[in-house]
Amino acid sequence: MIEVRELTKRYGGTVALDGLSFTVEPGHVTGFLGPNGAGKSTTMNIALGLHTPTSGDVLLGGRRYTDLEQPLHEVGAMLDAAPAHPGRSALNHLRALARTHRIGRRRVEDLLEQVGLAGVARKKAGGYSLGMRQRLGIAAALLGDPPVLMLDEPVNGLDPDGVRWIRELMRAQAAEGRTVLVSSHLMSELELTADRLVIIGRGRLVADTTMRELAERYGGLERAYMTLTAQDDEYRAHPAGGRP
Amino acid sequence: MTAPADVVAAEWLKARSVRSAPYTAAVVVASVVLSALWVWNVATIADGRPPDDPVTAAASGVYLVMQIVPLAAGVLGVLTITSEYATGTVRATMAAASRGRILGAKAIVVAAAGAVAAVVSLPAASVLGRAIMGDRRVNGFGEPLSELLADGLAVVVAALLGLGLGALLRSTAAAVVAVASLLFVLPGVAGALPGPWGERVGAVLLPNLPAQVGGADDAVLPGAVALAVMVAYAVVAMAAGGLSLHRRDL
Repeated sequence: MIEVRELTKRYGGTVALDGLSFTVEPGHVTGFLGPNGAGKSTTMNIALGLHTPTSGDVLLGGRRYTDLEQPLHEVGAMLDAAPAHPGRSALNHLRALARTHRIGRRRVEDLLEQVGLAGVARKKAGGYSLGMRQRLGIAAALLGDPPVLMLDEPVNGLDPDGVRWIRELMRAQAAEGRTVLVSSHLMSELELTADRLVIIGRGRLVADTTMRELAERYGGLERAYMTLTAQDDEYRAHPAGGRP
Repeated sequence: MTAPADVVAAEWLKARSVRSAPYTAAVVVASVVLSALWVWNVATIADGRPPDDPVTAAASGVYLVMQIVPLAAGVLGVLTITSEYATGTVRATMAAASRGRILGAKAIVVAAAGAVAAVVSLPAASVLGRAIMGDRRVNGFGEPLSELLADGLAVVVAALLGLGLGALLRSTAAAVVAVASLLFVLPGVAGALPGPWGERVGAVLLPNLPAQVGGADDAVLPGAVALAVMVAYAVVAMAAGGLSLHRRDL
């Protein structure tokens, strides 16, 4: 379970998050949506102890990230297109991460097999395509077999087989009772994957509801999103020749 | 939290699995060869002089090793942390264990690497240098054991200096320039300062400290004080880097 509690974050004069509160329950895939600049990345960074909130906090399984004894066994995260050192092989990248928690080589090799990188595991990550790097990031998130998964744009760069694979993976993890939070801009894919949705805008909660409710009320995820975030979209593009 | 020994093992694995490790090792070995060549050059000059007009070597036999290896160690220290920022892996790294443990683990790894570099290069260069020089009379050549040990410590200090500055500045270029300035530029600037200032500033700069620990004739600081100043470089840099890492958003 992920509990975001009255989360506020100010960077100098800008308010990135403004008293944001919501809960992500285990057992279903929860989509995390919002316009660019809404605060999704900031929320996830604070959840993982990478940024310090101005006030409020995020609890993962009832505890703050920095209080977790074995964080990779509690939370698996894939942020920012999962970077790896270009001079290091996928195998060594995962082995180094695994070594902090005494996770063995067998687990690393099984994961590389599972994400489809077994054939290129010893090649340097600098030669990887975007899809391969994504798969490596997903492997890193799954490394500790955590009950909470936080994924930021996991579908980015994956081929159609990969897209379906990650969708089924997320649904399977949720069905096993895990908490799965996936941040994405891909409406069509999210419609197939997520059961619940949290939508934020300008650092505040806009909606916390089910996919079914949005479908009934608005007739689809994209329309629901556009309607709900109309006021909160700071960077909305306009078609050439004037306002929509 | 994640056990310190496991974090150290993970950092050691990271250090071994990138190219900077073998490159640094190659540079260290090359420095021994270059140092021997320099000694051979001085010996050749000495041979060309009449016996009552001996050469004065302005440096000890491990001179070139101490020009090269501290910089290599410092750069390795820098890269150990700044490469994480440059490649974007810093978040994944810091999410696996507490920031203090990770920086501490990196410190152990770079200090050990510095120690290995010193042990591989300094005794070899010293022995080789003496062998090449034989029993020629050259003033100022050769170094007492205490200075040689202090040279070894200086390499370890340089590595930790690089790590601390890298953690503070978070940029490879900025931290490498800072390390290079402390090792090469400031000693030159100190030489240009007026009056006694040049001597005072020069006395506390890292490259000039090992000789003072060894009790050189022109030492300004007592040996124990010089040793403390050397250690202070590493301690202050690591403290500054650690504080910065602890407080900043990643």
